[in-house]
Amino acid sequence: MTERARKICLLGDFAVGKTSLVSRFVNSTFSEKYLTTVGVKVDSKRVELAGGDAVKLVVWDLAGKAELDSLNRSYIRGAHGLMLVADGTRGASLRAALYLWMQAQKQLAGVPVVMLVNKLDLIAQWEVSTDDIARLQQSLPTWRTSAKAGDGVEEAFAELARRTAELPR
Amino acid sequence: MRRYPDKVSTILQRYLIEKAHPLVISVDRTGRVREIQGDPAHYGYRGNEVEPLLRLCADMRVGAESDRHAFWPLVHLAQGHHVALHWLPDEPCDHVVITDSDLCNAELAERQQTANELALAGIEKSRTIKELKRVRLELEERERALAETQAFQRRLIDTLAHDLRTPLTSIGGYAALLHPHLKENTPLQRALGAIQRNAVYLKALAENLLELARSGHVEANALQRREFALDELVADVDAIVRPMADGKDLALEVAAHANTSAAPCFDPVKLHQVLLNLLSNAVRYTPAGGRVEARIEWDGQELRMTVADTGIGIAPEYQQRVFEPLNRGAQQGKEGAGLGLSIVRQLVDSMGGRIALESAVGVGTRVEVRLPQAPAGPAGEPVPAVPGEPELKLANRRVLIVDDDPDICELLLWSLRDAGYEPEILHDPAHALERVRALDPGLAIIDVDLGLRSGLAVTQELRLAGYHGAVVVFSGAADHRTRRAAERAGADGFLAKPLEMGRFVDWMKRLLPADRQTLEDAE
Ligand SMILES: Nc1nc2c(ncn2[C@@H]2O[C@H](COP(=O)(O)OP(=O)(O)OP(=O)(O)O)[C@@H](O)[C@H]2O)c(=O)[nH]1
Ligand SMILES: [Mg+2]
Repeated sequence: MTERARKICLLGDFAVGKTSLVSRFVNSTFSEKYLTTVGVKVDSKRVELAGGDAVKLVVWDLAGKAELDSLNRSYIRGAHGLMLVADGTRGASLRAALYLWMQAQKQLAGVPVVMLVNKLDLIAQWEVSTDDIARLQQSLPTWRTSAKAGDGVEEAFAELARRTAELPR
Repeated sequence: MRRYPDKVSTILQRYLIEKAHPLVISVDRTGRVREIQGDPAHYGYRGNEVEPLLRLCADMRVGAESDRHAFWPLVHLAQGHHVALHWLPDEPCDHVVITDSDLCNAELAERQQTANELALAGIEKSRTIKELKRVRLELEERERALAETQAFQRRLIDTLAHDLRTPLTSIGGYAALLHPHLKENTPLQRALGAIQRNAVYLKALAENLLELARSGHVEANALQRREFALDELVADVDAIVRPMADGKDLALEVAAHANTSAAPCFDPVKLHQVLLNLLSNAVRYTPAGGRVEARIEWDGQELRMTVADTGIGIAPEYQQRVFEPLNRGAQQGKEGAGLGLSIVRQLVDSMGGRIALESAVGVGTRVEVRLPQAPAGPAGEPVPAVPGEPELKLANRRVLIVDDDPDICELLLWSLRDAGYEPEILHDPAHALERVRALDPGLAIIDVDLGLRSGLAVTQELRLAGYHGAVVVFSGAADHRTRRAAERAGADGFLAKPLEMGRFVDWMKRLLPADRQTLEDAE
C-alpha cells in the first residue's frame, strides 16, 4: 500500500509568514527578506504519526490575500486540511484569517483547521493579546508560532497532519 | 472549431512555442517516461531529469479527482520559474504539460510585491503616527499638570521664602547683635543661645520645606555637580550643629576620611542638606549625655555618609514611614519629625544614591547614605525602579527567576533569599512551563530580553497554561510600548533594567507573604 498523502493549504493575509513557516517546516531555514508568493508553491514532507504511522503532507503555500479570490479558490479544491495563519503584530491579519476560513468553509465544509498566530519572537509588538488567543483556542486548535525561532511550527504541522490522517479519504 | 489556415497555424505555433517554452512529458501506465518534447533545461531540469516535476505533479494531484484534466494556472517551481501546469489523462500515455508564465507574470509579481510592501509600510507608518499622537497627548497632559504644580509651587516658594526666611534672618541677626552686650554664662546669655539655636533649626526646617516645594520643579531640582573639599563640608556642618549639641550636652563628632586624592564631585548644596538633616535629626532625638557621630568616607567611587546616635530609636513599624513626607509622630511622640528624612530620601534619590536605616528603640539609630560618583554629563532620566500600586499579592514565598544572565541570577538569588523568599533559577526559558508546574511559585520573575524567545512569550505561555501566580517581567526597553505589551501578555508588573537592587529588594520585602512578615515585625 502506498503511503497516505494529504493536501493542506496555508491561508492568510499577505506577509504573515506562510512561506516562512513552510520553509521552517520543510527545510529548517528562515530568511528575513520578504518575497511575496505569486500563485502557489507546493512542497511536501513526510510526518511521523504517533503509533508508527506516517503521512505525507503536501503543503500548498498560497499567495496571501485578505479574501479568497478565484485563483486561490481553485487551489484549495480537494484540500484535506487548512492552516490559517495570522501575524500577531497585526490584529487585522487575525480577522482576515478568520474571514478566509469562513469563505473557505463554503467549499471545504468540515475539513480540519488549525490556526497559527505567527511572529511570536516579536511579541513585544503584538497587537493580539493573550485574551484573544485564549478565546481563539475555544473554537480552533491555536498555536503561537515563530517561523524565525521555530517555536510551535513542528507542533502545529504535526497536529494538522494527525487530524487530516484520521480522515477516511 | 474552425481551424486556422495552415500558414497562420504554423506561424502561431512557432510564436507560441518561442514565448511559452512548452514542455510535454508523456508517461505510461507504469510511470515510465515515454517521450519528452520541449527543452527541460529551460526550467532548470538538466539532462532529461524531469523526475522532480513528475513528483510535484503527483503531489499536486493529491485530493484531486484522478481521471480528469487538472490545470493549475500559476505554480511556483522550486527552481524559481512560474509555470502553468496541466495534467492530461490520455491513452496510452498521460501527459504533463508546462508552459512558462514568467513572461506574462513578471509584471504581476512585481506589482504584488510593491503593493504588499507599500501596505506593510503603511501599517508601520500609521502605527508610528498613532504612537506619536499618544506620546504627544501624554506629554501635553503632563506638561499641563506640571505647569499647574509649578505655578502652585512657585507661589508656595515665594510665600515661604518671604514669610519664613525674612523673619528668621532678622531673629538671627538681632540675636547676634545682642550677643556681645550680654555677660558670659548668665541666664540671659544662655537664653539668647537657645534663641539662636532654635532659629538655626527653624531655618533648616524652612530650607527643607523649600526643597520639598521645589522637588517637582525641574530646573530648580537639577543637580549642580562640582568638585569640592570634604573638609569644608565637615567644617560647615559642624559649625551649625555643634551649638545645638553643646546645648544638650551631647558628644558630637563629625569626621571625614578619604583614601584617594581625587576630589569628590557631587552637588555640594544637596550633600550639605542631607548631612545637616541627618545630624539635626540625630541631635534632636538623642537625650542629654548621649553621643552623635557622623563619618564621611570617600574612595573615589562612592561617598558614604553614616550618622549614628544613641537616641530614642524608631520602632520597626515606623521605619519605612519615616521616609514619607509629613509623617508626624513617626518618631516616638515628638512632632515635626517628618520632613527631615523624607527630604533626605528625595535628595539621595535625585543623586542616584541609596539610604539604609537601622534602629532599635532605646538604643539608637544609624543611617547610612551611599552616593555613587556619577559619570560626568547630564544626569540620566530617572526610571521607576519598581512597579507602582497596586501591589501584588503573592500566594507563597517560592520565586522562579527566568533569566539567561548568570550574574543577575546570582544577585537576585541572594537578595531574594535575604528578603525571606525561596528563589529558584531557570536559565533556559524553554523549560519555564515545566518548572512552574512543578514548583507552583507565588511569583515568576522573567527577563524579557532572552534572545529569540522573548520573556513575554514565556509569560503568555504560562498564562495560557492557566498559571495564576504573579508574573513580573524586567526589560532594558523601559518604553511604554514594551510596558503595554507586557500587560497584554499577562504580566502583573514591569521592572526597568538595570534593576535598582536596593529598591527592588525593599519592594520585595514589602510583598513578602504574611506568615513570614508578621514573624519579623514581632521582633
Ligand atoms: N520576526 C519574524 N519575522 C517573520 C516570521 N515569519 C515571517 N517573517 C517575516 O515576515 C515577512 C513575510 O514572510 P513570508 O513568509 O514571505 O509571508 P507570506 O505570508 O508568505 O507572504 P505572502 O506570500 O505575500 O502572502 C518576511 O520578511 C519574513 O522574514 C517570524 O516568525 N518572525
Ligand atoms: Mg508567501
